[in-house]
Amino acid sequence: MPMMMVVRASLERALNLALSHDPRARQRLQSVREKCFRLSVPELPEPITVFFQETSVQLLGPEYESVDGSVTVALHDLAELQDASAVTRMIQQGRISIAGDPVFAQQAAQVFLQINVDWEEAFADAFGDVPGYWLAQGIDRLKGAMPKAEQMQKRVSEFLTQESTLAASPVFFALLEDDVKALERRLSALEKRIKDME
Amino acid sequence: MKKHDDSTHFGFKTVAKDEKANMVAGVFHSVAGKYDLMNDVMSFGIHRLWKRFTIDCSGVRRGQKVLDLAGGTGDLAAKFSRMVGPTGEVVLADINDSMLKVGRDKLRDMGIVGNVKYVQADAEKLPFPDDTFDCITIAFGLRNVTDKDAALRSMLRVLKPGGRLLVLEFSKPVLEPLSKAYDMYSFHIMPRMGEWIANDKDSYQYLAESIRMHPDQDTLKDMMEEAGFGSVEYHNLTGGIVALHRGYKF
Repeated sequence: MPMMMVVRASLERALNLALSHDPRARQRLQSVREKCFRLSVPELPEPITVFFQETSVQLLGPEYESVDGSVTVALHDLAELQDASAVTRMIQQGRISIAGDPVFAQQAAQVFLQINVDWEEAFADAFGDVPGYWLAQGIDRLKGAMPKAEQMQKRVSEFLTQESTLAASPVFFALLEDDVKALERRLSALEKRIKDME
Repeated sequence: MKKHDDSTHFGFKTVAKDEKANMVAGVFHSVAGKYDLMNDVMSFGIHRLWKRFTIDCSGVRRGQKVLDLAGGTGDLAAKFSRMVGPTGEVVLADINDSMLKVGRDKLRDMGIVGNVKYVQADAEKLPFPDDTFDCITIAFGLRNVTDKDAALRSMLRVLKPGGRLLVLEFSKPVLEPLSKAYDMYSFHIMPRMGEWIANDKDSYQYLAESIRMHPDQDTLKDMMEEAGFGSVEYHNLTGGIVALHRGYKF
């Protein structure tokens, strides 16, 4: 538990640093302010619970129970969530489970997906104007190289997750498990009734 | 018999009950200015993780009323203030006005104003109406209270039905080797650090002694149940050096 707390605290610090250098972050945070969102990814050791505040976020642990909305999705399906039109199809296929208002889930995701840091200003604050300018140029060049890297990453991830995308998702398994357990309970109740009738 | 009823512990010393509050006040007047620094140094920053866990277990949400009792320099109150938002309220209460002033200045410097109130209050006789708060926290404060049973009853009174009390406090390490190392640290190193950093060895000697005199995990659980709290449970943190007790008012 302490290790996870340290990871959470570090991630919270990094996210808040990024949000503080994004001029539009406050606007996006306004729509989800004082609400709590939980993202459960079965492959991760614990769910990610985000409490949205006026200008920052707070990452809470799995013990926090007052969440306003939650999404359960497998790691390899996560990227697909960027496309809002894919959500309905994913729900129908049992690849994602949403509790609470889906609009809130989308707004919560947008807080992070739309982070656009003003690197020049951020670096200028830390290192001065000229080094800040050169560092920001470097980031821009990296961004320019991103499409190629993304293509490569897509190919590698397709190769690595080919099997898991063909197989039923963990969310589907969890739902199926619930159905089987409910069926088992109904069966044993039926058996008991038959025994009583005998 | 009368002598026993009128006496209590101040660290390892036995003192009259009506003297303890003043003696504890003396300790906190002395350490208030360097309280945050000393917490970070002596716990190696781990107290921040213990407080994070307390927030996780609080379930506090927007619009709620929270009492941060013995709130000291306001670490928990600051987090709660952002969680309850402008429609909620956080009361930072402490019996010691020096600690309260440090907490108030710190929170104002952090830009936390509007939904935080500051109240100088005795945990044994809380100056609030019945059924006022959704959540009460007392972090590293209960062991300094003279009559802990009276304080727990008072907290139960001001909690709303369904509300919860969280007690974060030093406790008994569950592993023997850790217990020995911790004893050595708290009795030999901690007072010296207090002397070097805060120029106050005695206060940190008291801290080490008061930790030993505080009830262990199960005893405190029983005390909470006896006071009327339901579904009481505790979590050991850092091998039981600290424990978080949680109980509900039903």
